[in-house]
Order: sequence, then structure tokens, then C-alpha cells
Amino acid sequence: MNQTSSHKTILEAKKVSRKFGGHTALNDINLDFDQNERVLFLGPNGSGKSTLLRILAGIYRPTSGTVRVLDFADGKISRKDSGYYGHETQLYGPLSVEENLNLFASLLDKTANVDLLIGAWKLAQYRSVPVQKLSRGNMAKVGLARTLSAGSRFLFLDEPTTALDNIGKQILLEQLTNAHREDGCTFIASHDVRGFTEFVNRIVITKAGQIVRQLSGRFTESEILGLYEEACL
Amino acid sequence: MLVKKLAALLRKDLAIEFRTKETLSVTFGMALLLGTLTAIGVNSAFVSMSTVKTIFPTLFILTFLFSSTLTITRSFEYEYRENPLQAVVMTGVSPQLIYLSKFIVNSLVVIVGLLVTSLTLSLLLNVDLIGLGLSFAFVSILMVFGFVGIATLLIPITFASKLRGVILPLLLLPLLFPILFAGLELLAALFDGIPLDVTSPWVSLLIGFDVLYVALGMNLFEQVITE
Repeated sequence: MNQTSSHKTILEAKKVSRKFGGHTALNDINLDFDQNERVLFLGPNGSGKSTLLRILAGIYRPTSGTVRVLDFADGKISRKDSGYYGHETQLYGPLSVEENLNLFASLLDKTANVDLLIGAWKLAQYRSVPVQKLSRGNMAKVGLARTLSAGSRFLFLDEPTTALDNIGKQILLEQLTNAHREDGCTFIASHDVRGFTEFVNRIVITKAGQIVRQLSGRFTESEILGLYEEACL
Repeated sequence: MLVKKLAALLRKDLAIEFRTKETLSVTFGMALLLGTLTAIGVNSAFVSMSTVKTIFPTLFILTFLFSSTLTITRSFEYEYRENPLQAVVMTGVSPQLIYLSKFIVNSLVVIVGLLVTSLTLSLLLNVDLIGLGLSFAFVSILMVFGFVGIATLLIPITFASKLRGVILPLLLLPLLFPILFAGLELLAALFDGIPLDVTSPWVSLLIGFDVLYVALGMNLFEQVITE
């Protein structure tokens, strides 16, 4: 693990807290992110990783504190700049794989190369199949294809490898590397840490709604596994 | 660009509705069932034809309202199953367009329910609606727009509530009073043989609330569907 020199900070979370009823999911989080950072959030279940991702993505509003994109005049993260993949596939079940990808491309004002996407994610045989008839793993591939093809500056992936087989995980890593923008950031929360060894350059460990450790640099697989075990203790 | 996005949303909403036929078939079935039950209830009371004509607008509106309120919630079912609505919002598309697309498709589905309700009641109670012609259709469709305008805004709230099955009528019915009242007055006048006067205050009230509810829907939909 070696410290990287600091770059231009583009996203800042200041004194962010989030409560759900009486439960505090996040407590006084302060984080800065530089452009081109690829951040892996580690932590046990219920440590606040998913809530933090959603707040950074602009899906949840913090109960207190602020999240600002520093090079935007109003500081607000625009929805269009934020690609999010969460615990749900966020696809329309009755529509086919092709219809889902075309719909989201139309809404983003993009001409999706659906053929290319379907080929890259090895979904050719399911092209016309309604998404609700696919296996969970193939649904996840379509959901990830939708998120990663949007060209978003900030990518937020919450447990993206859940339900993916080994080939699916390889495709995800390839597509994620292509989709990551150097003028943006990619954020991943995952318990499946092995797959992201080559990709991430920063690790943030959360516990009980707080940041307990942060490291920047390149990590070996054993280092990440060690940090993961430490995080989940 | 906006038209292209609205067209994409409409294609999606129509494709889901016509492929699953869920809201449409439930609306059709509910309207038929409630219309039949209402007609049987009235026929078993052996009321005179003139009384039937007098109470027809009330029966029609209550049957339509009951069946539509029970079924319209389904129009958002696939928006919350796997939560694609969130992904649509994240594309940056205007929530007003999402609302407009839902409003158009819901209006079409509710108009089908309205047709089934009016045909069932008209046939089983032997009341001639064809004679009332376009006036009856005009008033009914104005009622549909007001109903759908406010219901489409409120449905997403029901998905966030533990009282999902019952919360919509509780929120919706009080807001529908002006529409129901104006509709009832206009339909009762039609059954009394008074031709529809489009300059009447009841028509203005109906149109006013239609515009108000659609405007509210367009402006508040973002708050309702985000978080």
C-alpha cells in the first residue's frame, strides 16, 4: 500500500449524518474524493455502506450535512452525472433486454449500441426475452449494462457481483474499467473484494455508521482480504 | 427532445400495460362485477323506472369511483418491483414527463373501466345512455381527467406506506368531492332532460379542478417519487 499524491478534489461530503426513524445509519461522515478515484467501501453488514453510496449518488438526502460536487456552480450532483446500481436490478420486468437498454438510452439522449452491449455482456440469446424471465445473474448483467453504458461521471455500484458467475465478474471488471471516467469517480460497496484488486485505488472502511480507516494506493489481493477481515471483525 | 422522451416513456407504459394486461383486466373485471352487483341490488328493490333514472348518476359515479380506485394502484406496480423508476429518475428525465406519461395511460385504462361500468349499468337497469350522447361522454371524461390527475400523484405515496391497500382511498376521496359533486349535478341535469350548457358553473368547476390536479401532479410528482 503506498500513498498516492493528492489530485483535484471533486466530491466532498461534510458532516453527513443519516437517520431512519430512531436508527442512525451514518454519523458525522467527512470525506473528500479526487477525480479518477476508484473507491472500495468495506465494512460489515449494517455499517452504512449502502446508505453512504445512496447519499453520495443523490438518491437519499442526508439528515444533516452536505454533499457537494466542487466544480459545479450549485454544488449539486446532477442525476444525469450519477450512475447507480443497487440491490435491485432497476429494470422493467415485462420488457425485453433490448427494450430495456433502448429505453434508458433514449431517456439519456444516447444512441445505444445495443448489439455491442448485448455482445459484451454475453446476452445475445436473451435479447428478446422479457427481463422477468431471466435468471437473477442475467438480470444483474442487464442492470449493470444499463448503468455502465450511461457514460456517467460518477458511478455507484452496491454489491455489483451478487448473483454473477465468474465469467460475469470478469465482464463486469472489463466494462467497469471502460466505463470509469478519469474526470469522475467510481464507488463500489462489496463483500466480494477479490474481483476489484486491480481496479481500486482507495479503500474506505466503515463501521457502525462511521469511517474508521482510509487508505489510498494500489493493493494486493492479500492486503484487501486482510483489510476486509479487519473491517468485519 | 422532450417529445422524444415522452414518446419513449409512453411506449414503455403502453407496452407494459398491453403485455401484462394487469391493470386493464382488473379494471374491466371490477367494473363489470360492481356494475352487475349494483344493478342486481337496484332491481331487487323493485323501484320505479323514474326512480332508477333519478339515482342512476349516483350509482354510476360510485361504481366507477370504487372500481377505479381499487385498480389504479396497479399502474405503478412495475415501477416499484425492482425499482426501475429510480433508474428512470437518475437518467435526469423530467419527472413531469414521467407523470404525464402515467397520466395518459391511466386515463386510457380508466376510460375502459368507465365504458364497462356505463354499459353494464345501462343494460341491466334498462337506462338509455345513447340518447344522452356526447354530453354524457363529455362529463364522464372530464371526471376521469380529474380523478386520474390526482390519483397518479398520490399512488407513489401508497407504495411507501404500510397501509398500501387502503391509504389511496383515504387520501383520494376527500380530494375528489368537488369533481364528484360537479359531475353528479351535470349528469342529474342530463337525466332530467336539460341539455348540457358548457358555460355552466359546474362545467367550469370540473375543468378547473382537472387543470388544478394535473398542474399539482406535474409540479409535485418529483417530491413524491424521490425518497
